Amino acid sequence: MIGVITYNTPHLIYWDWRIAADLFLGGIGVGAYLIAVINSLVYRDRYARVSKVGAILAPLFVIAGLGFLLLELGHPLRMWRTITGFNISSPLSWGGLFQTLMIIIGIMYAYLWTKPNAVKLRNMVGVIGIPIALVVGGYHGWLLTIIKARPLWNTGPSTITALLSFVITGMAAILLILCLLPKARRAGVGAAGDGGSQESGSATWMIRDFRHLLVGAMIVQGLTFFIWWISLYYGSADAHAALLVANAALGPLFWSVGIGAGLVIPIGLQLMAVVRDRGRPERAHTPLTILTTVLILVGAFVFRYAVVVAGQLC
Amino acid sequence: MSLTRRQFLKGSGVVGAAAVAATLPGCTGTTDTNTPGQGPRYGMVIDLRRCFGCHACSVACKAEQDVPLGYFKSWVMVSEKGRYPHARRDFVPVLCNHCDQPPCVEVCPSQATKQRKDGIVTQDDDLCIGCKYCVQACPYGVKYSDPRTKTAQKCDFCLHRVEQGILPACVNTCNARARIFGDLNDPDSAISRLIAGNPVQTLRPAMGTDPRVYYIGLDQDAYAPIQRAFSLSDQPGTQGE
Repeated sequence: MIGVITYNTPHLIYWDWRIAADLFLGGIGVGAYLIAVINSLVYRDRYARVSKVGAILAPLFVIAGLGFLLLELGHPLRMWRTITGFNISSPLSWGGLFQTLMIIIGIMYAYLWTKPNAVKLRNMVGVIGIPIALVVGGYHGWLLTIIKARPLWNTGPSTITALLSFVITGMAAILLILCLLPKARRAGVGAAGDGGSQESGSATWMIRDFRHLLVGAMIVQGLTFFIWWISLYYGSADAHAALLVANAALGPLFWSVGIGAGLVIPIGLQLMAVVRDRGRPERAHTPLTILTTVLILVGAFVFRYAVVVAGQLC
Repeated sequence: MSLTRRQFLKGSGVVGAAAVAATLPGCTGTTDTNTPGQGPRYGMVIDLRRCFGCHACSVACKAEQDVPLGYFKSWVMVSEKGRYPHARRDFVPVLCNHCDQPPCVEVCPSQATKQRKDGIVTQDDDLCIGCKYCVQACPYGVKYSDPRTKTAQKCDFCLHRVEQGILPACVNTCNARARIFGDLNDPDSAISRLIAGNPVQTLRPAMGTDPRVYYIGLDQDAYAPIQRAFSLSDQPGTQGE
């Protein structure tokens, strides 16, 4: 075998944890917004607290995500140039525009929750925001996917994984906030079927019913991740090499925290709770839910971080 | 609320249409480069049969372009292959390929990276927001973010010299005359004649970027290390064979 040694310039990593934080926090904001609006439209005011928490979280998290993006920029004060010099073929141009729209819509939607007489307008604003939220969520995956030069990112399943991830993290953030609210305000979290009012039972509903949705979404995300992995492992030589390099550099962190703690353990814990409650009134398992949601959020951040950094290695 | 649903939707539509209309003119940094007869289309041929790896081009580039320590706009990749007594060394100078389909121009959110009609891809420091998206998008890894200006930087074929009718610094300094710069649209130019008379290759043709920096004598094995650094699967594209 002929050995080949190459002498090249140092390889630099330009996007760090701040880009991961932008994708992660923006994703939570978008997910929280979608859940708030859909919950409000489907269940009207039955579980209003869920929508209220989601409506407040949405603009805050999108703003925080955008803040980390600005921190990463060399010239954040020139951000307005993405509007004046709008490039129709650049995902970042579209992302900046739609994130700004998302913030405006999110703030309007949250504000309208303080106006009890403006339910129709609130729902209208909420519906207008849905496609915007989907674009922002999709953009978080699309931003990386279109880069042909980075085989780890340049796969279809990576966008789907990102899309699912923002729904899951948005859901997890709302659940976590509901669980952490003072007991009097989250009446009903302790036990389902305790005779509480519909409004006070919202958190219980979230935990009891959304748990199933959350577990389902996580299983689907696990499957899309598996397809992503397969497409890399059995894909082109580029893709395979990118996977090997990524594994060598960030494999332990990615597999233990990103996948293990962020996906496998939460699914296991929640399934365990579902099985244990079988045949009797289902309980909310507040501490378990807090643990699960924290694990999901930490895992999702590590997942994003590992993908962003490892993608630049090859 | 005094605002009806119809009024709200109408207002939203007008605002949305205005926003789209405002962004349409000049909304992309890509441009159609000159075709033969329209004007020059600049490119470069690197004749690897002549290159002996002196790195003079890298040094000239750094001096001409004020490139900071540890960064390069043009450099020479060196590869060693084989086993004694059949070992050999290959040199592959790399720089911006001034592609016909430049991904850096495509992704730049502020149109700081643009392509001129003559094919030269330029970088405007005043417009760059420092997002480094173009650095990520370049399949050849030839863009970098300058730690001093916090903007993306790249080779522009020494545009300030070319506009004065002077050759780029790396071409001017090459002892072996391995770098040939010129107008690809002019069939009588040295570069056109060289391309017409020799099999030439480009880096990573599978990327679909249509580079305008050509190589003569690019050894598949010598090229393999480049593929390992940036990619593994590409085979050098061939033109004029």
